[in-house]
Amino acid sequence: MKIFYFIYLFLYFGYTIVRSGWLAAWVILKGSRGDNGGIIYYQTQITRPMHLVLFFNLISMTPGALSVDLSPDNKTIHVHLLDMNGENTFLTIAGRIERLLLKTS
Amino acid sequence: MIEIIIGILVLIAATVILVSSVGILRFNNLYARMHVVTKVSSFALLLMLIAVNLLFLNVWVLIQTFIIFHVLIFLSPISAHVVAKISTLLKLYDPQSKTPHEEMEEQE
Amino acid sequence: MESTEFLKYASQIALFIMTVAMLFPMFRLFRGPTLTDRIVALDQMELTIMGMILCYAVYSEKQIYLDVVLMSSFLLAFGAMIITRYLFKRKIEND
Repeated sequence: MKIFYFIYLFLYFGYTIVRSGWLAAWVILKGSRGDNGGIIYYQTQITRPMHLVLFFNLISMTPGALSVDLSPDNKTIHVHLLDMNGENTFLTIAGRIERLLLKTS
Repeated sequence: MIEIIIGILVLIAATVILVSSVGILRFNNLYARMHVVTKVSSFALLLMLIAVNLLFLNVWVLIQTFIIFHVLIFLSPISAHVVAKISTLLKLYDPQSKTPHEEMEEQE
Repeated sequence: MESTEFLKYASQIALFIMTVAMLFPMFRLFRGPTLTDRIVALDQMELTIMGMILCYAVYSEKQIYLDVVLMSSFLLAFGAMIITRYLFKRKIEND
């Protein structure tokens, strides 16, 4: 059962990188200058260090989000968003990835 | 027939790389530029690796391209994190305001 | 064989497009406001070079060029870390 979730995570991740690359290219083609960005703080419940590193890398590949820094107590991730209007979609995608990672542990 | 698909994939990948270079030039903010480097260029390299796999159809090539793609995926966020860390440590960019810090420009 | 000729022409056009694409990060490298912008521009230039080598592997149909791309991807990942390590050391010495 654990392996099944890993395979699903891998396929979902491959779908996500294609979509995020295409969306970021579309933002460039629309003529944006990158003025609309900002930093938000995301609270995680993951405690195992291996999964935390994996989650830190997976956030960088979701559409329009880039993980910048980690707080010293390993509970808050600073995330830079390319467009601050898309905050809710980022929260749903990150929540889905986090639930998948918690299931694999 | 398969050559035509490979040629179209290579042309699309080259166009995506051109778009990402335009994005590097046009964005006025360090974090937005790192978005372009980690996402759009990885997407273009993914298309190019699929084209190479379709051309050779070989297990050894599949293993090599698998390693290349995973190095791109898992190590480029770490280098982006290190660059953002040195930027906030040297106070080159303030993340909330969009312009570079003025004192460091005078020092350079 | 028409399809093989189409592949040759397509890879040549793609090499030309990527050569044009090298010019924009080079402009950013000369004119970047701060030091970290130049590091990011160097990363983009190295990714473009990897794409050019892959395109040449398609053009000449030799798979030995994939080894070059494999080593270049490791250099891409660790090059930015090496540059920033010296910046950290300079920051520590100044304090």
